[in-house]
Amino acid sequence: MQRDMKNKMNNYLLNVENLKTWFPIKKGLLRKTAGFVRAVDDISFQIPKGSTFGLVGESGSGKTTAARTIARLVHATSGKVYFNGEDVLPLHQSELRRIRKDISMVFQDPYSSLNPRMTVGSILAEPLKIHKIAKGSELMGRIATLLEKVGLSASHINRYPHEFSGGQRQRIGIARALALEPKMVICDEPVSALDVSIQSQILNLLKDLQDQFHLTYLFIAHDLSVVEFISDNVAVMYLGKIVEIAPAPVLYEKPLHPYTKLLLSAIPLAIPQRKKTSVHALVLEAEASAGCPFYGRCPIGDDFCRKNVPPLEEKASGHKTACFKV
Amino acid sequence: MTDNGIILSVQNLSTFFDTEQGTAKAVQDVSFDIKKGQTLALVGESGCGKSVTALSIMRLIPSPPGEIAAGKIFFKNHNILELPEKKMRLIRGDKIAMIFQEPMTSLNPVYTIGDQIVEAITLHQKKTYEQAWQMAEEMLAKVHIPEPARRMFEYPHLLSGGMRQRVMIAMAISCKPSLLIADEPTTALDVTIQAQILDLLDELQQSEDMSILLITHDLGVVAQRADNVAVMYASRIAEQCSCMELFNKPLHPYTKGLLNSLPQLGTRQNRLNTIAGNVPEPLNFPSGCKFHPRCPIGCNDKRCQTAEPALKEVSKNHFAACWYAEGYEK
Amino acid sequence: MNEINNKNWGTSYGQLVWQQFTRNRTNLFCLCFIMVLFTMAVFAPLIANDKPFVIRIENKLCFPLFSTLTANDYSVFLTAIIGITLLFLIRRNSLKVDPFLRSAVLWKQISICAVILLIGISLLQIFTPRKLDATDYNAMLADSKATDAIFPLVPYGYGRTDIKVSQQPPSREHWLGTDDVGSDVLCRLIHGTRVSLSVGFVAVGISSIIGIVFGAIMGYFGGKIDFLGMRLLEIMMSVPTFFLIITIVAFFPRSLFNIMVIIGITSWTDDARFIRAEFFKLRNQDFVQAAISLGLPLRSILFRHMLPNGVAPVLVSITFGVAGAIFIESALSFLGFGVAPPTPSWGQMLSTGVSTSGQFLWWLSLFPGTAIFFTVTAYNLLGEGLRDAIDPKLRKAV
Repeated sequence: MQRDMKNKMNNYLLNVENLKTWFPIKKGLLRKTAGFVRAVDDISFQIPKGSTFGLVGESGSGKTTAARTIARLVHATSGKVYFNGEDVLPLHQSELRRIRKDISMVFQDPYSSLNPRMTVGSILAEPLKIHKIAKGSELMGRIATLLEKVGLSASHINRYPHEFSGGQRQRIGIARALALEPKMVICDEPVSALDVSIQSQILNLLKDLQDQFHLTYLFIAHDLSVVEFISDNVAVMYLGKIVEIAPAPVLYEKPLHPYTKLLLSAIPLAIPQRKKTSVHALVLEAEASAGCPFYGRCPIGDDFCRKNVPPLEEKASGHKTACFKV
Repeated sequence: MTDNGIILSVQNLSTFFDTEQGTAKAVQDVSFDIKKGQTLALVGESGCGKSVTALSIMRLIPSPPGEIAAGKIFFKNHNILELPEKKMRLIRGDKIAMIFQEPMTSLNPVYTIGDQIVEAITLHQKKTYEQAWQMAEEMLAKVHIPEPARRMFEYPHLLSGGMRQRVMIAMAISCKPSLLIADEPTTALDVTIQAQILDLLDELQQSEDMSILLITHDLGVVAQRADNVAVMYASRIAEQCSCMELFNKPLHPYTKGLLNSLPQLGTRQNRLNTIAGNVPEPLNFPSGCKFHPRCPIGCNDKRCQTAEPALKEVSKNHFAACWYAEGYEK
Repeated sequence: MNEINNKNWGTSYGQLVWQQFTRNRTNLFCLCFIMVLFTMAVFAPLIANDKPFVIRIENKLCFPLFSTLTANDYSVFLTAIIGITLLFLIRRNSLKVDPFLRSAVLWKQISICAVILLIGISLLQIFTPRKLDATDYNAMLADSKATDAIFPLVPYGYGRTDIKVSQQPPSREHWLGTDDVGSDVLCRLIHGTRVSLSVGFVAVGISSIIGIVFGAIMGYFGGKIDFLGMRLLEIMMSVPTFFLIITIVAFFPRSLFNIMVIIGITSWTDDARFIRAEFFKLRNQDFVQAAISLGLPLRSILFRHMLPNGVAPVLVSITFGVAGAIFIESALSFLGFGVAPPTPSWGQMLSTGVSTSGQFLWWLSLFPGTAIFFTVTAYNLLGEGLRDAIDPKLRKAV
């Protein structure tokens, strides 16, 4: 109860505490659990109402699993996810539906995220009907408004997804996410499958919609410049753990963790300069170490790092990082 | 070798595909040269014809439905479009090599890495198996794969994406090609791995004196790795110039729009500049200048709507296809 | 795409598949052939019957053919009418009904039709009088007791036995000859289509419903349910189906219905495996995840989002399954485990080709054999065509 009060007072819409999602590795005829893949391993973060939280990481860092766990699409191993002060992880199917109305998702691939057998109208109508928000002529009106909000026209209602381009499909995906008037939208790499000239349109659209509907975003991406544009706070994930978390301007100006530095230095900037061969630590095949997960690639790691896991600690105001060396 | 050092010269290449809905003009009237030891980047969005151009150079367009409708491709002064398939096979993989986007699917999962590189070597060079094996090991060392001797016996699934792309590169350069076509070589990889792979390509280009045709959609990659750039839009080259010039003085409105729409790292922007509209599909190209429906200048201009501007030299070594480009002869 | 219709409607996947399917001539030909078979099966008693349509007996017009039609015949007519109505409605929906409302409208139409069909068939079965008309109208004509008779095209009944004309090769009276008890082969062939087609459809209907439900549950839930389900399926598959069928048939009375059910409950394993594989794949597709994340109920996720996307390979296997079921029925009848005579079936006719005296009566083997061959081939080609129309990868290659 006390915690609930605290959450409300701090005005956090989402508060993730020590979330773990481990996938069992089953072996043998009887499918005994032989071990675990620690996709998400003990992460905590908070998202204030109306802000955008960026989650960055390379493939396999667990960012998508984290998002899907929060959306209750993947079963969490342990931890707490407070949404509006209420832990959503132990909720049952019937109670979950109430939460599902408030948290929606935008997916990466605009081609696989729309049911190819349904018209745009039915895709948008179904959640409205199921949650008994609108029906009849009101339903049609709502769908038309939704389509116009995301920059499509009401005449698209009776078309099928295959008749749209990638960018337009992503707009439909966004319209679907907004249909239930959610409080929070989880965007799972919403622009990484799109062409450069379309990316900027979608990013602007997401920003406009946020202002219009006071949305809170959990924005997942591997592209640091996209995350910088859209986020207020950014967390960097590496092998299932958050290694650094800070307000966006701080993180990009003064990165503390060596992994964040590596990421930032690796982005090819659109400024012409023929880069001569630079030195990058070569990725050795993941060496299982008991200590810091980044130890194998870290330029400054020592024996202490190999044996101990660095905790996520606040090094400056609002700037947390998990590294012994800062 | 020619006097001016041009390795590959593509002249007025057009490649069409027959589909049920009509002829898709994937590549139209594309011309460019690549000099020895240089990198030309072919930039563009999906469906602009950049990959088809690469496949046309390799003569790997599936026919039917595809067909190289017009143009000449001179590789070391020989028009390779006139070569019989048998001779082309000798050039492919030997003089011109290609690496692809998906390192996960471009290696055969049932053979060891060693077997696959050795096969590529013995196909083009008179080497015994032992010699080829030796050479393959050297190649793996050259692409900085740790413990090459052990890796030779491993199967592709044991390697990460970046490592697989290294193996692909090792295979591609094993015959010391004069031209390497890299079709989105790093799109499927993480940024840190991308930097490593691009560094590797740079290093190899210098040590082997190789020309690279780099196909990508990422302007950041272009800025850092290319000598010359050709921007493709809807089957044609919209602008072509040196890399420096493109980023400092873009002339085509499409190039300008693209550069403006990128989120810039380190600058807090409130909104991004955008190019309106959607990327056109090869079956539904607009009339006139193909960019006019999305162009801030051309969307209401009669001439842009009806007549297509050809690619012309607007200043020294700077080509653009826009009626309103500075210096464009009318 | 806009030009397809001026109402700004998109082309649905079904319409795309249909366009692709009808583009191929072989497909159309096979479809027509099967349509002809269907018509023949439905109107069998009107094409081949020893009762005349009209006859004048003692100056009174009689309609013996119509008065002797059984409840089964009427049920078949009703089913055919409703089937055609449904096809017509589907066609009309795609032209007149907003795609937005189409599936709801279609469900309404299907349920209404199903209700009408069920009520109709039960009423027919209860209230149609069973009349046995043993009158030999031919004899009456010959005796000039009656005049002005109009007989069907093949004026013989399938149950007629006439030892006098047994084992005759094709002639002008009996176009395809007669069998060992003197029945007309053509007549039995026509009535046999009923057995073959209905076995094909009902058996495959039963097997695909079991297969789809079973496979969908395994594929969606995965884990323990899938593990147990797969083991059960493996047990089913390791039993030689044909011998199982023969064993079961030996215990139960030989009726057409039993054979259909038995074939149905023994051949669902392939469908279940197809659907399970599809559902596994679909389960992780983003649009299914999106449906879950929007809080849609399981019913909607399984049957609105997943099934229409995963049913394509099963549709193909259903077409092949119909061919398979026809084969199994023929084989069973050939071995004498099938439909009890005098009900005609192609397999059973085939078995009479070698007479008890050891003679080989070629026409008794050739004609039913050809019928089985062409029907099964038509279904297989249809399945092939459907697969090509459904698979977009193949679509681009051709």
